[in-house]
Amino acid sequence: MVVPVFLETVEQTGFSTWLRETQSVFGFYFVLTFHTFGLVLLVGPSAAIDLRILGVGSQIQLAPLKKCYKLMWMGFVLNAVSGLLLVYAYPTKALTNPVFYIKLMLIGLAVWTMQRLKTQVFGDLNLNEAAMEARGKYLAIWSLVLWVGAITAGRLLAYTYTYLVYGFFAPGG
Amino acid sequence: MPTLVHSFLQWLGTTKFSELMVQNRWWWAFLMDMHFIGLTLLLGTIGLLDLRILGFIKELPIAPLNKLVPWGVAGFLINVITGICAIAGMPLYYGYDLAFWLKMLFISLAGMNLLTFYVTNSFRKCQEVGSGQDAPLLAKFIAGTSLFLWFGVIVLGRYIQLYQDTIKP
Repeated sequence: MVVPVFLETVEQTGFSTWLRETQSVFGFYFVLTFHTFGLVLLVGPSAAIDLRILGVGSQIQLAPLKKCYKLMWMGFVLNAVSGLLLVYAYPTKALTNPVFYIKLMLIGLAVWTMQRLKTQVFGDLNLNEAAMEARGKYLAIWSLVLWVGAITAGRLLAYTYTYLVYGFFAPGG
Repeated sequence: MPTLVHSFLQWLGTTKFSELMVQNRWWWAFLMDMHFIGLTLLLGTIGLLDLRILGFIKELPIAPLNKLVPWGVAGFLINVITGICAIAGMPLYYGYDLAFWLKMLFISLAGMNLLTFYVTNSFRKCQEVGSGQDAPLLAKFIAGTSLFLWFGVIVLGRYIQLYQDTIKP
């Protein structure tokens, strides 16, 4: 693959270099921490709602859980911003790795499923819980599968990259 | 670093099990992947319960939320197992890392916090909190501490890599 020189240009900027190389607690790992917080805020409630729709804790009232969507959107925004910063720190590593694009696709699908679930299950206030559960059943299963996929893809990024930075192969090849 | 601890960690690194854990990078990736799924299960379920105790989504009575706790415990157990596998794989790496030990401290504190929840009357009082009602103040304090500690565990986990070799031999 021919790696675009533009990626090296980004890596050579002061901010990108600082993020990667600083020993300060506010560098790369700080951003990564917020990325994990965002993951918890986004996937945590989503998984809890999915489990509930699939029958776990069936005495928990389903309708009020709609309020979790605020948290989930906060998580999404947090991850979009922190994600951009992470890519800015290691553009070659991320953008030359096919797994990164798979991750983005899985997240896109998971968020779409999440939205669809919101309108299908929580959109009609007149539905009883059984109807809500019925409408959400397959979306909930897909949601769980897609989130597990997205998390897995994210984790694999650390083990599947070809270039750590422009021009340098991953150790061990 | 006390000699005894160093000796133990060093010995651990020579075992077959240790070798197995780091032999295959996909196995390591799987361990880390499960560790994240475990943390999501734990924080998603216990987190929701803690938030309700603190007053978020007050329409929900508290008692039914207990049904989510076994899933949180499952997440925790997944993380204990994958965590042990990771430590066994690279014992000296973790052993000389300040962030790792702080993380273990925070997990212990979270466990003690949980104990307080049950040992004081908080758990029983929370079972009676109905729709629209406030949980007792002590329960709120425990729930807030729980969230703080578990988010702290996440932070410390993320900083393990940065804090390599921060403990003196």
